[in-house]
Amino acid sequence: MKYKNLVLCGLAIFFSANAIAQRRDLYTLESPYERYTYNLATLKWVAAVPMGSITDGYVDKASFGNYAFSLEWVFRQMPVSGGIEAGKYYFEQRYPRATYKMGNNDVSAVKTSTFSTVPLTAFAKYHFLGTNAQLSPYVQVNLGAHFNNYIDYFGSLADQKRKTTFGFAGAAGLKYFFKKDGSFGLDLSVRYDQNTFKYEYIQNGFSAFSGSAGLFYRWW
Amino acid sequence: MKKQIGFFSALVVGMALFGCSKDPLSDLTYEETQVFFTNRDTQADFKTYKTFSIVDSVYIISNQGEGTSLSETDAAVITRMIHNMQELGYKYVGPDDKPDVGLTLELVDNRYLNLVQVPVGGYWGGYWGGYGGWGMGMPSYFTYQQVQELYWIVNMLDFKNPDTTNQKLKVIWNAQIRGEGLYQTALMSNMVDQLFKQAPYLKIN
Repeated sequence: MKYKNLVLCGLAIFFSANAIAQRRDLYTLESPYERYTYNLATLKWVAAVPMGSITDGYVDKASFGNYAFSLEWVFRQMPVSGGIEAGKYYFEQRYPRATYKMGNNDVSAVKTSTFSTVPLTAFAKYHFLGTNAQLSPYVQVNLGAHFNNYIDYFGSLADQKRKTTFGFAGAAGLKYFFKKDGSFGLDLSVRYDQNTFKYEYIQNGFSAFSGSAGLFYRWW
Repeated sequence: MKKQIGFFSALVVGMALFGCSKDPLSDLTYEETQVFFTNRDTQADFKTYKTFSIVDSVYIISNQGEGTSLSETDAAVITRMIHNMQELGYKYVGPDDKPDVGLTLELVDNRYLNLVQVPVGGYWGGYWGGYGGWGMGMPSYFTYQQVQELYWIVNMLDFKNPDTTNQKLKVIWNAQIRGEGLYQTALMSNMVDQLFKQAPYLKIN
């Protein structure tokens, strides 16, 4: 009797499991992230290396305290997304006391050269494996304005130039969703930024190569 | 609506991040903040000068009155200037001994007291309900800022070739020191040495 009950229980579990599996096959609704255009916010920490004329006696040291924030609309059933991005790059380098020529003056000072730029740009992304793949490589282009602030401190005296210029960037990256169809994920990217700022040491626009690691959240 | 609130609050949080900036000079010592300017008359041949004299006190140029000063700090500057000139080969003589060049020493000390009103005149948060819509009134004397402009000026005058027609003495060397800690006695020797160090053309020996 005991043995018969056990067999019946086993059969019951087998068929019910089968029925659930069949029901799943019949009712496969796509994730909302496939069906709707959704929002995606990313906060990134950025390490950057300055490039071009800024490195000729101004700043050639990498900087690790940069960040970026973006808001993005991911279009449904298309491999593309677009959005807006703001960030901040800050570079700084200290030079020991040296004598500089300024006009007819010889000026001796400890120099602290700083350059910061706040890029405010619009961007478009192309996702090679679609926007909802758990591991989603992409390429990106940014166009917009860079709010530049050049301050070359001689001791405590500043030679400052603030200027808003045109800026653009190109990037390649990888998005990884912690869970399939989940909301949170990791974003890794490399990027090149360029603008048209010109002043003193920076003669052909500011440029930088950067790598970033960020976290994103999406909602619809 | 809820969606839009989420979107815009994310935007606000993101933008708030970009207000932060650090002070790149916070770690500078007094010496490191100091900037030394020197300028020379390119026509002057310093090798033709042999003797020098220096003022016996520092002339204070200030928006609160002018006058001379000979504090311990001022004396330290004068003594160090003499030392440096002698090192460069010049002979120190009295003012009546017809020096070839004369050194003047001035300290510019302007102080401004600017009354500035706190820039939040309008809204105070509405915490106390009974005063809805009221503004804030703030007397201007609640806050002020003081600005001090302090720097040293050194001039070398050419007594050997005076412009008798216009009754002028030509300045053949000018130096300025700006920055922080400009009236700290302990720093004076190094400050004066730096001025002469960056002017090797003054050397005549």
